[in-house]
Amino acid sequence: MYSPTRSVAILSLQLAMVLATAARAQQQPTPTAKSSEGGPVPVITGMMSYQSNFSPGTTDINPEFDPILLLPIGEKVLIESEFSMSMSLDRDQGQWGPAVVDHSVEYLQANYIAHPNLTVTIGRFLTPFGIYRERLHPLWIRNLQAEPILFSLNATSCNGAMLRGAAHVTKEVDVTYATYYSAASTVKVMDSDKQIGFRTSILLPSRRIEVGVSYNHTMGDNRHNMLGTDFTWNLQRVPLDVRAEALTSKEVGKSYWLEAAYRLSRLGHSPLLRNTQLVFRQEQYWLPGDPAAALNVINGMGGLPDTGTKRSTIGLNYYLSHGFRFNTAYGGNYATGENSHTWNVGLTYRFAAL
Amino acid sequence: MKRLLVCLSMLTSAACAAQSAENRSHSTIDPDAAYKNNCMRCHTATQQYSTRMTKTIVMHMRVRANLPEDQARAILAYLNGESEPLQTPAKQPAAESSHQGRK
Repeated sequence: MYSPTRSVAILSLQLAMVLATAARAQQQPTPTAKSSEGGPVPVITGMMSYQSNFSPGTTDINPEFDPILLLPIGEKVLIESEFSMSMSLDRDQGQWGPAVVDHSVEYLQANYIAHPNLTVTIGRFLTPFGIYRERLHPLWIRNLQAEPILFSLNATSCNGAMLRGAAHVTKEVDVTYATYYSAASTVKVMDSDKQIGFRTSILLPSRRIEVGVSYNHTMGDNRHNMLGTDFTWNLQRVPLDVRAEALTSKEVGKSYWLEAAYRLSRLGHSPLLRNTQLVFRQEQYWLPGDPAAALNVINGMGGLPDTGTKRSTIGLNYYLSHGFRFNTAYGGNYATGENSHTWNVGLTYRFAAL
Repeated sequence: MKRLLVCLSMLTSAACAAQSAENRSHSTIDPDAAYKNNCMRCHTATQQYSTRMTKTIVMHMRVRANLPEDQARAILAYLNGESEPLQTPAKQPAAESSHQGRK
């Protein structure tokens, strides 16, 4: 029986072998000062997290474990994979519900660095739409543990191929790009839609500003188009990071989030201040013009509200030593008939081992 | 098909930009600045690992964060405790580019 996922997996493995062979052939012994230290080695890394959310009448706890394997083959090929395992246990009106365990392959990809400005990726990879999915969604990186509403619209992985890279346009300006094609798959841990798209950005490294544009066309039952833009600015004079992302789609609605994170290091030299970060995020979601017509598409996107919604969240992170981080946040959800407030408290641990 | 063409034209533009960048000579890259300008776009803090593990992690980040090769090399130098600015050559074979260019 034909299985798209199996075909993708077999194709990925075959291409990985070809790429590995090509990379081996390309490597030439070059005398350098660092060559005696050896090449890259396999690394097992990842994170563990324990998060609790408290809202009136409801409590939920969410432990999560995401191991990552990085397997380099020479200095041109990297095979990498992240497996995500999480559990959600809810207590509603005094009664604990069943523990829901979820697991998925976030990515299982082979990357071939074909050129200083081009990397070829095949397999299963995070959809390069905006900045949250690819860069910020890991729990040890995101500033607030609650995902923005917008993330429900593009929290996908692709099974296919991607070309990506970056180049200097001038001394002060870089351009980055990623373009991809994904085949459809219904296998639970490796599901994907048939889709194509790209993201490109202008980066001003010395000013630490990046502005990106993304486009996605999803085919099949959930057919829709999305256009997105993102913005990142890491201020240099003050330890403030500003990030924002917006998305518009005729079929699934519009949304934006804007986040500012301020490190208290300028306020004093005590470890308490140096390791503390304050975060604020504002976001909003608008339903599409014809919600009834878009119902099937929206229902396929878990976590998307069924009415226009505003959210404001303020949080505090404290960076402990050895990869531990304590986080807490308080957020308000404002929607017709669904106003609520939620406390979040949690701990994440980032590890890496040989 | 139209969308595919849009994607392809984007890729072609990027490739042209990459090619033009290949032919351009850059001055020095400060490893400290490369780290701060790139890694701190998303990471608040990074941990220290062995030199060989760091190489692997920088490979991973080179793909994930779309880092140009010279920036990735400078970040690797920074994470391995080398603070001297790196010279980026005007043009060199891709197979050797990851090894050359250090002062």
